[in-house]
Amino acid sequence: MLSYFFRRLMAGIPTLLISFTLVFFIAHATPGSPWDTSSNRPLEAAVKARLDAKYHLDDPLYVQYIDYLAGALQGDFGPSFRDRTKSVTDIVAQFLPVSMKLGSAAMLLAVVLGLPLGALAALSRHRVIDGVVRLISTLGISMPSYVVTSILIVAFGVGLGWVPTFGWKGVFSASSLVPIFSLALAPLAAIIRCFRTSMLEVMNLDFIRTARAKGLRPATVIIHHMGRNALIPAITVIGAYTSYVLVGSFFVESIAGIPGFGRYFVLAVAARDYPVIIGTTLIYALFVIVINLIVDLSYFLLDPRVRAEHGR
Amino acid sequence: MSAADADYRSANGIAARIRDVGPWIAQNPGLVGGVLFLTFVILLAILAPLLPHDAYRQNVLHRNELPSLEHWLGTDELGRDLLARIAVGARVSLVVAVASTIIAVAIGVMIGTIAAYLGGLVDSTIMRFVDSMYAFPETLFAILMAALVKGQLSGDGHGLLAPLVEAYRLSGGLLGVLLTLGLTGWLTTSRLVRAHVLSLKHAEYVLSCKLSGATHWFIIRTHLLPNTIPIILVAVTFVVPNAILLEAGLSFIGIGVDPPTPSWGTMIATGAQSIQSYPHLLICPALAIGLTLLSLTVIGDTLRDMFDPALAGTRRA
Amino acid sequence: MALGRKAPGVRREQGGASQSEPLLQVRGLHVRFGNGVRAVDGIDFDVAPGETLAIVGESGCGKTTLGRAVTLLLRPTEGQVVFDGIDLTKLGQRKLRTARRDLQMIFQDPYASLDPRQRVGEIVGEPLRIAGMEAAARRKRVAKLLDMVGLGGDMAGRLPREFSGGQRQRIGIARALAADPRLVICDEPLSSLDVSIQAQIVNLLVKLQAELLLTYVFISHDFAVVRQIATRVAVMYLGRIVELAETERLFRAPGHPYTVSLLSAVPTLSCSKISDDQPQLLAGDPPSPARVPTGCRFHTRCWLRRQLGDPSICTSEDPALSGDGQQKTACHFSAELLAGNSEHRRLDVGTNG
Repeated sequence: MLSYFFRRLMAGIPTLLISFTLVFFIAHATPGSPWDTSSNRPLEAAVKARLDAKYHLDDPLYVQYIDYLAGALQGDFGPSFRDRTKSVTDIVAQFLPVSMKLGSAAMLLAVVLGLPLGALAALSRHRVIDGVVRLISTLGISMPSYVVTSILIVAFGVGLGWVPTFGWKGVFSASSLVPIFSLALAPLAAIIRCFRTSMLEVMNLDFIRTARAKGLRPATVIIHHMGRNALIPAITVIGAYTSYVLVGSFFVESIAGIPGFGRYFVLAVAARDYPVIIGTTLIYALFVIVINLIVDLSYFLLDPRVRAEHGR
Repeated sequence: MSAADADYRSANGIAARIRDVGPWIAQNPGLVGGVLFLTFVILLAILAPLLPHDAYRQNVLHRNELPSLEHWLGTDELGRDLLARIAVGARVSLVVAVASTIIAVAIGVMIGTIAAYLGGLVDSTIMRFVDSMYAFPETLFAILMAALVKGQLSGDGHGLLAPLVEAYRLSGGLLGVLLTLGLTGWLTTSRLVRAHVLSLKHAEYVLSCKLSGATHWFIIRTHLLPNTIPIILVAVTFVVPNAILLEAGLSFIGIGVDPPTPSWGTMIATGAQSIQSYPHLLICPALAIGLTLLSLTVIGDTLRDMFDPALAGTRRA
Repeated sequence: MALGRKAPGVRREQGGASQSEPLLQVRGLHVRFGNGVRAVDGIDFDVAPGETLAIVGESGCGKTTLGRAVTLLLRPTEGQVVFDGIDLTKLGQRKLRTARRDLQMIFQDPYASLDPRQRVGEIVGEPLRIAGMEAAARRKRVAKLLDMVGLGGDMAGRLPREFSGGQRQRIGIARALAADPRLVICDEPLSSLDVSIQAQIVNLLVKLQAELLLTYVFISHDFAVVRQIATRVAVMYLGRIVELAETERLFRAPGHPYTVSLLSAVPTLSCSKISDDQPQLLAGDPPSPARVPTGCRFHTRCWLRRQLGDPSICTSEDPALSGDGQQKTACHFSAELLAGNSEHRRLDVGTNG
């Protein structure tokens, strides 16, 4: 079993490498220089040349690539070009935790609400309950996060004054309520939809009929038999959204004024801040790989068929 | 016409189908609502030039007006009629959605079919690449690509790029968004198509075809592709709403279309800045895009249920 | 599309094999899969023009893989397949396409073997289209073929889903015969059909063979049918042929203990009880083709070995297929078996016993 996971982990390395290469070349192929801080005052050629030399931007591209790769392997991503007093690692340490706290809270909300609601919709005999839940989830998955955030801030911040309209005071303050909810909405909707569908499928299988006929308590049947089986596809969805949400959504962060990782990324792209762009992307890719591994682990724990195929 | 044929006709013919429409509408309110709204949006987009006001004409004397009889949805921060801008924004969204979907699905079908049909090393390499791309959050990659594409196309183009640069300028920045979305949106399609073609590859009628001496291309175009059409439609139901969403998102950040081309995304961005004073600037485009995506989601759900119920509930396959 | 052959419907005289040489020669055929499974583990046989060679065996013995390998739909790991004088295994894709045209296949599952999106006329006419025949001529031939298999010529416009299993199988047969093949491999064509329909299809196949001078390789696990239509029978076990004999010879005097077991396991309608201690009935499951037993591969389930007191040669030496034109077996004790046949055989397979 350990060898299976080790192999999967190792398989993530080429992925990281490809991601790194892709980002590197896309970023460098984008015209514009990191030193043009404002379009009104282009830098003098001499200053620009000096900066380029200092940061090796005048070296041939493949040299820069290898250079940067070597550095990255040692965990050194260099300084941010936009703010040369800070290194990329500093920036990550400063902004990522905020996004992660926000993201974790959002995913927690999505899972804690989503699974029961999905089950409710599937199990409920009342078409109305099912219909309402489906309506909410369809709405949730169609609304873009910036629309939701904006409307919520208008309604609760401006209109009712219950939450501040801008700024961040930590995840346990009122300023986090709207962002958490907006971030949670899409995964919530997706989890509801997916779990509902898989519960519906499992519900009609013969082995459930057998379990009921055996006289097992309904709760046991629902949670232990149906739930475990229906959970498997839902875990994939949860995994997919977790990596997306944990690293921060710049839409939500921009509108609500949260000093998070996502917003910083957009600014970096605009400023051609290559090291930050590349560093950020690699962190994203790493997250995705780790989360995929965790998802695989849960398949392993939940589904005996996977265990039989790969494990002891 | 024999008696059997007559029976068949009366059960399945045109008259019978018309009779069944009423109850069907009642059973599928979402689908009907979605189709109606979508039709409305499409009409709005097509008939935009016929609206009483021009979407580009600024009128500094009438800035930020609330909805009135003169301007049904009010005016924006430069005095332009909001309804007209939303209508042209609808055009932008729809054109982008359709065109980029065509590009993305075409690329996805090609790659998926090649990977599945050739198998072996080609397949592993392609899939490894696709998996790496999946590790990128989609929006992130779109932003990167948009920056790249815009950067290349808005400068002074030389050589190969020159006609593209010209086209880009003429399209008001649409071309950039199109290309970006086309180049990022093919992943889902390729996975779906590949999975399907893999299952078809070993079908007995394909084997029979091989024995008869068919070339690979003949098999692909006669048997594999036609049987993949349902899956391609499923892929389209994912790609179209995603394209609209992404286009608005990119415009929101400022790397989508170029002003003054209206896009629902840019309008939301501006509207968000005057939430407190002029909420209608935010609400109108937000509702427009929200309801459009809702309609597309519902329609997509229904289509997917028809073709492959296993995919229900996902946003990205 | 290459047109280097005569139009279908005209029996060719060219090709390497004359009437007296075998149409198909298989030598040393091996098909090994990546996970260690040896589906076809050294097979040799010939097929003479006009005959029907049946290949029988339990599920998993490799018969379908053999069928695929002989047509080169699956590349054999080793061995030669000489069809009409040309070794197919040595050909590249392009040449293979032309060389294989006189070889066709009928498949097991009538619900999977027809493209659901094509009309029957297109399906049956496809081999002709690939060969370059134009539409008008194709239509005529398709109508003729559909008549030949007992469906009306006017069925060409229908879709497969409008037909029953037996009818679909007829469509499959029509398609296989469209380009006038010489050898047709029938891969369990009756297994998915109802018994009454099976009889019709068998009769059709026999009739067509006589009319069109076809040669069949008939893969099946149904002994009754095999006895009816085969000229020779090859019994397969774990990827090898263990007995190859003329049909009646095989049924009356089987030379391999596995054949005896198979024949005695066929349920018949006789009134006598099938006693449980019949020594010839096979015990247990067949070994996995990934772990073939040493020596004679049948020794783990062989009743003859037990009866003869576990001779050591059964576990140490792999018997080769040997014998004469009428019967070849791969057993060290074939002679003993044949000599003692009167006590050990059940004869009523395929007759009304």
